[in-house]
Amino acid sequence: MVALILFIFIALASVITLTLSVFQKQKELQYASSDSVIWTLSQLEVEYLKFSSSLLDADSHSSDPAKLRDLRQKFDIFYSRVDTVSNLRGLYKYESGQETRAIFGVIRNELDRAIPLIDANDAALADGINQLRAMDQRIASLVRSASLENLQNFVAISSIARETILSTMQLLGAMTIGMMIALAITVLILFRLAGKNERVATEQRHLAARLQTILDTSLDAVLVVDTDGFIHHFNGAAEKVFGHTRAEAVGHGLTDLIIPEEYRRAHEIGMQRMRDRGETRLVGRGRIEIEAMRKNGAIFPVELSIERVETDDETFFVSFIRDISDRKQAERELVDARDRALAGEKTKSRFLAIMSHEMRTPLNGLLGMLDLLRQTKVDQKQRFYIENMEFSGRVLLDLINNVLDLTKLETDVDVLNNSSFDPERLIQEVMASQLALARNNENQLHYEWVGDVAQGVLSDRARLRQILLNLVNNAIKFTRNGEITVEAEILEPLTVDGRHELELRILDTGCGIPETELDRVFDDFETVDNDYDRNAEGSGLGLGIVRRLVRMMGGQIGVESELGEGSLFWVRLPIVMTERSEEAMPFAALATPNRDANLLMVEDNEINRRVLREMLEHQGHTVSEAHNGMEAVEKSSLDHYDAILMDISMPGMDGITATKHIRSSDSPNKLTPILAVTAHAMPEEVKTFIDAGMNAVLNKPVQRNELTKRLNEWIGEDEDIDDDFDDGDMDAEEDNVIKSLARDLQAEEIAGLVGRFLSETDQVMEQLGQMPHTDENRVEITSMVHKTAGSAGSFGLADFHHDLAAAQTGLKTDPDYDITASVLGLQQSWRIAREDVVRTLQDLKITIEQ
Amino acid sequence: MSAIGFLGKVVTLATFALTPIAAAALDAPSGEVVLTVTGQITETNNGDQADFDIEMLEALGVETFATTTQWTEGEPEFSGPTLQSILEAVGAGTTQLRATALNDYAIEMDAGTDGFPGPVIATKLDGAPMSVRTKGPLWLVYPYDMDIKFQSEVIYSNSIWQLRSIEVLD
Repeated sequence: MVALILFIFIALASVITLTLSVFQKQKELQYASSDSVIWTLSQLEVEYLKFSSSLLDADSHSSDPAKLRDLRQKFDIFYSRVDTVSNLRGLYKYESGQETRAIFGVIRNELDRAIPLIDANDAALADGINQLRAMDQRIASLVRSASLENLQNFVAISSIARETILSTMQLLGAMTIGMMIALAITVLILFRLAGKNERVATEQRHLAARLQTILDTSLDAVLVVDTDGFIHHFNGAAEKVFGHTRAEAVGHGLTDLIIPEEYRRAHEIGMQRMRDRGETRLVGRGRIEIEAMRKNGAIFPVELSIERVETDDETFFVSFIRDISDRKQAERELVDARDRALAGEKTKSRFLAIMSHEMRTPLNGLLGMLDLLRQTKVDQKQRFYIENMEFSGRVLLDLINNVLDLTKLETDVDVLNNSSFDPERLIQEVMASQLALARNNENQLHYEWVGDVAQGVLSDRARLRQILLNLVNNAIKFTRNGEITVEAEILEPLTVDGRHELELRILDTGCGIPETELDRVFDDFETVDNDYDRNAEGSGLGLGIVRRLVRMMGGQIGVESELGEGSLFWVRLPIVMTERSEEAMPFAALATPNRDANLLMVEDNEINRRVLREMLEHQGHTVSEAHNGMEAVEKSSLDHYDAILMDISMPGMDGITATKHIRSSDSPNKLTPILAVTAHAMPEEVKTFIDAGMNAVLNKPVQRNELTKRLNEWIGEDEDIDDDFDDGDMDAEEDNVIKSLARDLQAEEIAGLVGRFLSETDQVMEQLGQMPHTDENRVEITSMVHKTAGSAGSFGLADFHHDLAAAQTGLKTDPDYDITASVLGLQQSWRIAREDVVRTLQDLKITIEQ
Repeated sequence: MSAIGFLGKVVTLATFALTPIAAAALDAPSGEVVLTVTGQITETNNGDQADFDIEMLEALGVETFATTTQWTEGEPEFSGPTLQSILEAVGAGTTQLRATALNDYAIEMDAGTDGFPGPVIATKLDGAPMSVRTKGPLWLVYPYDMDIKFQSEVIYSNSIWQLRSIEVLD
C-alpha cells in the first residue's frame, strides 16, 4: 500500500513534469523562436533570382542608371537575405548544419568580393557587370544546393522536434495510463479496506451488542468506574442489587452511592493512593468479600472482584459485585445446624455419662456389700462365688469409669498441667500399683531404662501416669503366665530445634493382636476378638483414652504385634529435660485413718449408707446418719461434726440446698467441711456444689482410698500423706482445691468462680478496714467474717480460714476482743492467701478478670 | 504589461509634449524619401501620401533599446521612432496596416495603440544608419527581450526589414 502510494506520487510527479514539458513545447510553438523558416528559405532563391535577373537586365542596358540602381538594390536585398539565412538560429546547430554553413561561407565570400563593384560609381559598375555575371554563375548552383540543404535541415529539425514531442506525449500517456492503473488499484484497495473496515465495525457493533446483553443479563451487578470514582456503567443487575436506577447511578460518585458510611473514608484513601501512586489493593485480587449499601441504606454482604481496564488515555475499573446475603444466611444456618448437631452430640455424651453415673450408684452398693460379705464367715464355695461376683463387678466398674474418663476427656479443657518430675519414679509407682493384678494373672513385671536415666522431665505427670497405667493394665489383662516389660528411653531431638522425646515401650508375651485388628485397637469400644483369651475382659475404651491423652500431649502412639507371641505398644511424648525434681518422697503405704472423727453421713439410699458406714467405722470414725437434706440441716444445727458427707440427689431437700442452709445458718457446723458424695460428678455440677458451700467431691461408688484421702485433706492432722498413691483417679493428686476444681471445671468457670471470690473478699476486707470498729458494728462484722470464712473454706485456704474462724469466735465470745487488731491480722492473712490463689491460677494458666 | 512598459508609455507621452509639431501639417522631405505612408491618413505632403526622410522620422522622437533578435548576432542596439508616433504624425484612422518592404515582402498587421515598448521603426543599428545590405534603411523591430509578448510568430512576421511603405487600411 505504501509502495503503491509512493508509486502514485512518483507517477504524479512525472506526469506533472511531462505536462510542464509539453506546455513548454507548446509554448515554444506558440512563441516561435524562429521566423517562418520556409518563407525565409524560399525568399533566398527568390531574391537571388531577382538579383540575377536584375544583373542580366543591367548587362543589356548598362548605360541606364535606373537599371544600375535596381541592380544595387537587388544585390543589397540578396546580400541581406544571405546574411539572414546564414544566421538563422537553430538551423545549423546540429552536425550536418556545418556543411550548409560552409556553403554559405562560400556565397558570402563571393558577395563580399562583389561589394566594391556595387558600391562603385555607375561607370565602374557598368564595367564590372561581366565580373558580376561570372560570380552569379558561380553561386547559382550553390544557392540552389544551400536552399535544398536548408530545407532538409529544417525537415530534420522539425521531425526531431515532432519526435521529441511525440515521445514526450507517449511517455506522458504511458505515465497517465500507469497512474490510472495505480489509481484504480488504489481505489480497489480502498474499497476492500472500506469493506474490511465495515466488517470490523459491524463485528464490533455486534460484539458491543453482545457485551451489552451479557452485562444486562448478568446476575452480578457490573459497575464500570473511572479513576475519580464516577460510575460509567451500571447494569440491570446492579439496579436490582443496589436499588438505584441506571440514570441515578451513571455519572455519580461510587462512594456516596454504594459504599457504607463507615468504609467511605478508607475507600477514598484507597482511591487517592491509586491515583497518586497507582497502587491498588483490591484490583485483580480475585473474589473479595466486603459490605455494600443499598439505596435504602441497608448494608449487605457482597462478593466483589475488580479488574483494571487500560485504554489509550484513561483507566477504568470493572467490578463484578454479587449479593451474597442469601449465601451468608445459608452459611449461618449451616453453622447453626452444625452447632445444634454438636449440641445434640454433647447431650448424647452427657446422657451416656449420666447413665454411667447412675449405674455406678447401685454398683457401689453391690461391691460394697460384697466386700462386707467377704469379711463375714463364709465357706470355701461361697468365697469363690463372692470373688467371682466381685470380679465381674470390678469389670463393670472399670467400664463405667472408662466411659466417664472418656467423657471427661472430651469435655475437658485442652490445657496441659505441666510440671517437672522424675519419670523413673512415676514408672515405678505405676508398676507397683499393678503388681497385685499382675500376680493374679501370674505375670512377671519388669522395668528397664534404656540409655541414661532422665533425672527430671517437664510434662503432664497425671496424664502420663494414666497413659502408662492403661497400657500396663491392658498388657496384664491380655497376658497369662507371661512377662510384661516396660522400657523407657529418652530420644534425642531429630532436628536442631526439635524437642527431646520420652519413649515408653510396653512389651508383653500375651496373646497378641491379629494384624487385621491392629488398626482398630485404638478406636473406642473396640475389643479384640476374645476367642484367643476368654479371660481377658475390657471395656474397649482403655486404648482409646490413651490415644486421646497422647495426642493431647502432642505425642505419638503405635503398636506392633505377633499373634500368639505378644505385643509392643510404644508411646513417644515430647518433653523438656529438667534437673532432678524436688520430689523424692518414698512410696507411701496404704493410707491409714488418722484419727477418730465425728462424722455426719447424709444419704437416702440405705445400701449406700450401710456401705459407707461400714467403711467409715472400719477406719475408726463415729458416724451419724441423716436420710435427707432436711434431717441433715436439723442434725447439723444440734451437734458439731468434724465433717459432713453429703449425698446430692435426695428426696425432699437435696444436698445442695441442705448445704446452703448449713452454711448460712448459725449452726455449729457452719464451717464444717462438707464433702459431696455423688455420682453426679460432671464438671459443671461440681461448680454448683462449690457454689453451695461444699468443699470437696467424692465420687460414687466410694473407694476406700479416696475416702480416706479426702477425709485426711479436710480433717486429717498428717498433712504429709502421699497423695500420689492412688488407684488411677486423676483428681487424687491435687491437694489444692482450685487445682482440683480445675480438673472438673472449664477454665472460664474457674476464672469466674475464683474471680468473684477474690473481688468479694477484697471488697469485704476493704469494708472491714474502713468501717468503725465499734460494738454497734460487731454483728455486721461477725457476719462478714462468717461469710468470708465459708468461701475461704470452700477454696481450701486453710490458714486464712483458720484465722477467720478464730476471729469469728473472738467476735462472738470476747466482749473485749480487739476488733481493729483482728481486722489488720485478717487483712494480712488475706494478702498471703490471695497470693497463693493468684499463683495457683498462674500455674493453671487461667486469667481472671478483676 | 511590466513596469518598463508603463515607463515606456510615460516616455512616449513626454516625447509628444516636447514635439508639438505632431499635429501640424507635414513638411516636405528634404532628403531621400525612405518611407511612404498611404491610405486612411489625414496628413500628407505628396498628394495622397506622406513621404518621410530619415531626418523627419527621427524628428518624431527616438527610442533606443538593445535586444537580441533571431536575425542578428549578439545584442544590437536599435533606435528610431515608434510606429505609433508615425501613425499619429500622418493622422492614421486605424491601426490596421499593410507594410511593404523593398524585397516586396508585405504583411498586414495591427500596429496596436502602444507606444514604447512597442513597434519601433529603427533608423539606426548600433548608432549607425542601416544600408539595404544590413536590412535598412528602416527596420520595424520590437523590443523582443523586453517582454515575452514580443516573441510570438505574429510579432516576428511583423518585424519587417527594408521597410519601404505603409498603407493604413480601412
